[in-house]
Amino acid sequence: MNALITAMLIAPVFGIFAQLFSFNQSAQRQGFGKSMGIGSSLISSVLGIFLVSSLGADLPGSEFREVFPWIGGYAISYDMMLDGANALGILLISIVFPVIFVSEWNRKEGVHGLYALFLLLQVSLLGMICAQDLFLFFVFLALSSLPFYFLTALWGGKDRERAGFRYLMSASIGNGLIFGSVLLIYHSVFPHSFSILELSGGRVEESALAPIGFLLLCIGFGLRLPIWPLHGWFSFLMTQAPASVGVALVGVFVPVTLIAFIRVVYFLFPLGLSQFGYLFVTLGLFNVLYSALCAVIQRDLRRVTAFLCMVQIGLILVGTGSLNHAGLVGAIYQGFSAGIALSGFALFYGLLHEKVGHTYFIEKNGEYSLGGLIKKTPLLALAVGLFICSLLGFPGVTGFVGQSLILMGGFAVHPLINALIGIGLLILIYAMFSVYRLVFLGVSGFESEKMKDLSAREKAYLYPLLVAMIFFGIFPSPLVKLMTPPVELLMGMLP
Amino acid sequence: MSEILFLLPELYLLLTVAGLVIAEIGYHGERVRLVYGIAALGLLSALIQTLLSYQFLGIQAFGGSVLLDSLAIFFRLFFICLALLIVTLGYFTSEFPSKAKTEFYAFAVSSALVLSVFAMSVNLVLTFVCFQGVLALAYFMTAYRRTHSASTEAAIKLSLLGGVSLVLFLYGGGLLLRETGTLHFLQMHEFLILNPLAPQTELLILGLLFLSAAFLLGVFPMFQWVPDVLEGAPGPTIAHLAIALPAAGVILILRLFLPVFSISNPMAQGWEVLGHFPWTEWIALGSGISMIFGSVLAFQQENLRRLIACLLVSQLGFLLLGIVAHSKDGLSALLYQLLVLVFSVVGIYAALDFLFSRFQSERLRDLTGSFRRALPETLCLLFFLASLLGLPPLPGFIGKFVLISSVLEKEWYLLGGMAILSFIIGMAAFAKVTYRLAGESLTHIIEDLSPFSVSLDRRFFLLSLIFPLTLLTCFADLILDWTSWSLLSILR
Repeated sequence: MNALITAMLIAPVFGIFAQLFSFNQSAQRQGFGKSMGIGSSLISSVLGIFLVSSLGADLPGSEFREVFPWIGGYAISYDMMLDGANALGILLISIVFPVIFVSEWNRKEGVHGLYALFLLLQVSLLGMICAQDLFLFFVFLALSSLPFYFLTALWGGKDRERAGFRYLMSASIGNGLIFGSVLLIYHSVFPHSFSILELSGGRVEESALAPIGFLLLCIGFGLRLPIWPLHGWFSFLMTQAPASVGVALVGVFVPVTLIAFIRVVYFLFPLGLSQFGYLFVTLGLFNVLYSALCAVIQRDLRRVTAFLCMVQIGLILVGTGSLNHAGLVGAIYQGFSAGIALSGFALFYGLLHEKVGHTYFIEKNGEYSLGGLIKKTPLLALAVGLFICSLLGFPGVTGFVGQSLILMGGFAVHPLINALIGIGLLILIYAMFSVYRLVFLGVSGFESEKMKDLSAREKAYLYPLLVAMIFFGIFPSPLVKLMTPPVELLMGMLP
Repeated sequence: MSEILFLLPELYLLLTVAGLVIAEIGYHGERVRLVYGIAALGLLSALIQTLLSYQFLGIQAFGGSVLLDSLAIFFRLFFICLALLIVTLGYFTSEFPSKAKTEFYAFAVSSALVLSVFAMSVNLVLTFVCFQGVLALAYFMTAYRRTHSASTEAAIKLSLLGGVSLVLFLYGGGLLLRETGTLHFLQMHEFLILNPLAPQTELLILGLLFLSAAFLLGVFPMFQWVPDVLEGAPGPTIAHLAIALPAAGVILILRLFLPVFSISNPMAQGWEVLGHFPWTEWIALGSGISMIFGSVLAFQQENLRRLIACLLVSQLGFLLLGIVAHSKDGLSALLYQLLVLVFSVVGIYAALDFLFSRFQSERLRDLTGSFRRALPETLCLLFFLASLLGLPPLPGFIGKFVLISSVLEKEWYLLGGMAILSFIIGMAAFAKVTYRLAGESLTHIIEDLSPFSVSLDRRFFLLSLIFPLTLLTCFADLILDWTSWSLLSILR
């Protein structure tokens, strides 16, 4: 039972080796390689779901933990833990990654390289969310930046190299700042330690280096996550990256890294957080309002997805900075919810790109190329409608739970926060309903004829997301209960 | 008798060189040649004997000129392993004809012999002689492709700058001898504690010796030779020079600078600078400039060989962080990073040798398609490069973490920041190489995509280099303990 986290982490590695052996091989061997890729990802996902479902909801702290020393002289250990707070991240990775592999099944060019990089990404994200050692956490976080670069620079659109390079530079600077922060944290306590649990409870903040460490950590994460005003690379990358990479980025990387960030700042910098929590809320509100306004004026679904993602990040930041139970539970739950819905929306534009060749719903000359798709693709229209409902926080889907909790948390801080979030969400509702109207309703556009309704493979990757979204929208209590003990632990860290 | 016994590894190396010379003289066009076998067997025997020499720890010989301590054994093992890898690299290379390889093996083994004595030397004259020997052998190995203009140019640059640094060392060492009246480093230290030097004299001596060490280390302000020499010399020689000369520079610091111009403080597990001038600050300057300059320069290169040469400058800057820290942790990380350098650099040049010979070009643009045509070799190249640059979780990252950590411990925050900046720029250079080798081969139309044929033994050699790097990652703790233990003799 105790080696399950490691097994979950190692399973995709076998898939990576299978891709390497299938490269430049016959069609039969290629099929074997792809099956091994999906198979290894699925095994990891099944283990992840099993681990999450085995967690006791009423247990404070963790149920699964694997620790052994790695570089003992520097207090670095392989310390992996699964508790209610990071369980949602693991659940998200376990649901979305197999979906990504199925969506890329038909790709002809360089499919093994693509699969190998996605598997590497799965390993790094699982490692990052489970790591309880700051050094190990950084190793996995830094490892996750390379797959995104290669996936964009190799399989992206016309301007892929520039987009990939901009991403890599932002990610490298972000990694560098986080690494600097990790080193300062390590040196700020005696005896030196990388263990997040040992460093918790304000030990780090006793040092004079703590404010610099906190600042570097926040800016570093701001660069790795697309947080306004450090988001320049993000919308550009989204326009160039393949849809599956968009799914991995907005649907998994962003929410999972946000959840990891929440854990790290609550554990290590409770005093800093309680002093500057209002800055998190302000930054979150800016993200919501700015991104919602940007979403209104877009004509490319890729960019719409980018700004949708930034709105969700804003909401999560508001929840994080609220410094109360409801806000924090809401932030983590919203991470999971946004991940599922954004994955679905990104898969939708990928599907559109596959069939129509682009993702514009308004052409450069102002014409509407799509429209009236609901008649040709009723199932797709329904699925996309549900994803949008979740992103806008409508009842019956996961988004409602997360956003309601965030609003409850925000209201406890200041009612104005809720008013501003409300304005942001209203703008977003206008933007998204306009998009939906121009794509699915009204008169058929000249390119709508190219569209067909969902095939079996497309159903196979969209339905699991819909099921998860509706199930946890109607029955959120298992996940909320799971989060309660660790969130109480995190809240207890605050002065 | 014990003097001979503890010098048995050097004796084996000498016999190997003699065996190679005899084999070369006695060669009359036979089909089967055993020169590689002779070289490999000799080096392996020396390696085993070195491991056995741990029983002779602390022995001095030749009037105290050589000292066999744990540090000397570490470097003995290091140089013999390096020679074994370089000889194997030379065996596979197509940069020089097979009939000319015997001389190259002889030079590589001789170099291991000289460097091994260099590591044991605690005498100024012997150190100077070894310095000279190392440079002479480096010159021969660089100029090995006689008809190759870049090789000749590189050799001339190396000999010119090497000559200058030798003169600087001679002058600085001469002044030190005049002031202290002894050739023995430890006696010099004892003299300087009781009779501090005049500030001007000390500045001159330290400046001259620092410049000569900077040449060997390949760092600012004496790093001009690195990009040119590491571009023009033959592949196996580059791998040798990129590791052996900086390692010799490290020996010079550990054997001369630390014992003579520092006071060890075993309680604090470190050293304090002796005298008027904080020479570690000069090293910090050299380190910072080399790290940034090397990585920025690397990013701009289109020739892969030159790009890696520039990256090596920045990596050598990283090594100096251990010296700046002036602590046991910093220096043990330096030794650990040297081990990472050996396997990464040899791996890089083993892969490059194959790619350059097949594509007949060193330009990144011309290497497009290597991902399709030589997948294992290209992947190995990227792995070794990532390890060199310190991509997490590869051993280079662990080494760099400990190095940066050790300078932060001493509150060198700016230097730590420069190291992180260099790390970021290095990653961008890595991304550029990867994109050229892997990316464009997938998206550009390339006429010929047929895979290159590779001999199994060559591929095995390349893949086998991954194994020690994996061990360096998984057992970093044990290896850092070993490097730390190796430093005990100079900490006392």
